[in-house]
Amino acid sequence: MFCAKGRFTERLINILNTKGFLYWDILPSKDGFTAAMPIGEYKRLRHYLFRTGIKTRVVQRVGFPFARTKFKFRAGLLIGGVLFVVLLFTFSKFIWITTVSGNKEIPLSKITQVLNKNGIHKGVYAKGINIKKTERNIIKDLPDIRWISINITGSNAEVEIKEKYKSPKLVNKKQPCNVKSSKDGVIVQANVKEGAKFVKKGSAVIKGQLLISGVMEDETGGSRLVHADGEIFGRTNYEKTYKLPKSRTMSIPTHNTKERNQGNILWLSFPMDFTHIGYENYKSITKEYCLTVNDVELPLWVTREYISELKNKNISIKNNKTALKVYSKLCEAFFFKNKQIESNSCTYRQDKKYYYLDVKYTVIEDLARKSKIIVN
Amino acid sequence: MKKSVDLHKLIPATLQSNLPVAEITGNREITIEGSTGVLKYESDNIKVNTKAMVLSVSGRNLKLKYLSSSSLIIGGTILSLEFIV
Repeated sequence: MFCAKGRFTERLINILNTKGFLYWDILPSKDGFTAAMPIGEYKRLRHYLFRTGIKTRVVQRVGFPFARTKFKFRAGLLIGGVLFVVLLFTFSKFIWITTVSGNKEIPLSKITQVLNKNGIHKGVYAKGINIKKTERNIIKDLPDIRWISINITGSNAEVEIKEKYKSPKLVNKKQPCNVKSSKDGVIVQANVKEGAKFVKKGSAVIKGQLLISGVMEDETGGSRLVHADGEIFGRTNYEKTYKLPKSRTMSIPTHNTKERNQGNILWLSFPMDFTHIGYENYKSITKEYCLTVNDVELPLWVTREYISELKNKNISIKNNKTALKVYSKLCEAFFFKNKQIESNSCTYRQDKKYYYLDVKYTVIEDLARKSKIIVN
Repeated sequence: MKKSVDLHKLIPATLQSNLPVAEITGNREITIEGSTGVLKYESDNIKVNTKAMVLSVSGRNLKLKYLSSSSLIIGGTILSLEFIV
């Protein structure tokens, strides 16, 4: 923006007009006028100023060419700004975040593993993904899903899945069958849904004994075959022996620990320090720390490895009874999953190498087991 | 027989003469067509040269909103328009 002063500044306005100069915001001022024009046009104007005798003075400089000179001695700032724009533009072409929704039974870790295998993870070039082909491959790798949709919005990959509905196990009610005992026991409770009951509460049964018959007699004296069904709970006995070694060699962590860091940007990984481990025997735990801005995860993260030295130590069990009890409780949770333990009796013994716990269980369980009736 | 056409009747009168055309919008804006240059440019008076006469626009906070080789638009508060022949 410049101001023009002198005698008959209107002559300059007419010259600007007739010679095709580009200018704007022409305003009258004391002794002349002010106007704005591009740098190139102003340089061209100088030639005409000499003829008119009008003096001009630049009052304001606006635009990138002038801003650039401000940062002439601060090239780093300018380079940094340009680098930021380039990096932002480049990084936005890659996937930063992968979100999965719609899974209920299938664990997220399994889905993430399959997605990684099929090229949907942090650091992948978004435009290079063939979405339809990837969706088909994922359905092949995860047969429990019936539908999948992958939407790449900017740097986000949103994966939505729908799991298959598991159909219940069909029972062929037309197939006649008996219900027999799966183990020796004493009947505690008998709930018959279909068929003729052959046992009652308090009856002792052996393995294979008929509990509910599929052959039913009708009023006329004839018989018909049915699909016998019911729950027959009985009291049974189990014997189990648990053993623990008296001493064992174990790797125990010491107080010596080290940390090692690795930086990651998209698909690139680089070490951030060169810590030498130096332990003969050690264990390491890896954790990832991601940089977030306003709850948005950036594709920059640090992988920290916590290394702790291990030393072999010979450990002998002192309180063997408590240890055996704990061990037995752990095993019972798995073995007697669908059964109810009514009572148990324990006996401890030991030899040179092991401690033993002999347990006798009295358990209440469902003894019913279906057996087909074959009709020729 | 050839029929002679009177061209003067076909062309509008405003285009035939060298007279300027001024269009005033209230007292805020005046468009002058047929101008050849600016003779005086001040915030309270703008004189515009045309082929036939000089137009003097007086007012307050006057400014040239648009200027081309043959027309211009003056904006501001216009108080009077004078034709100087």
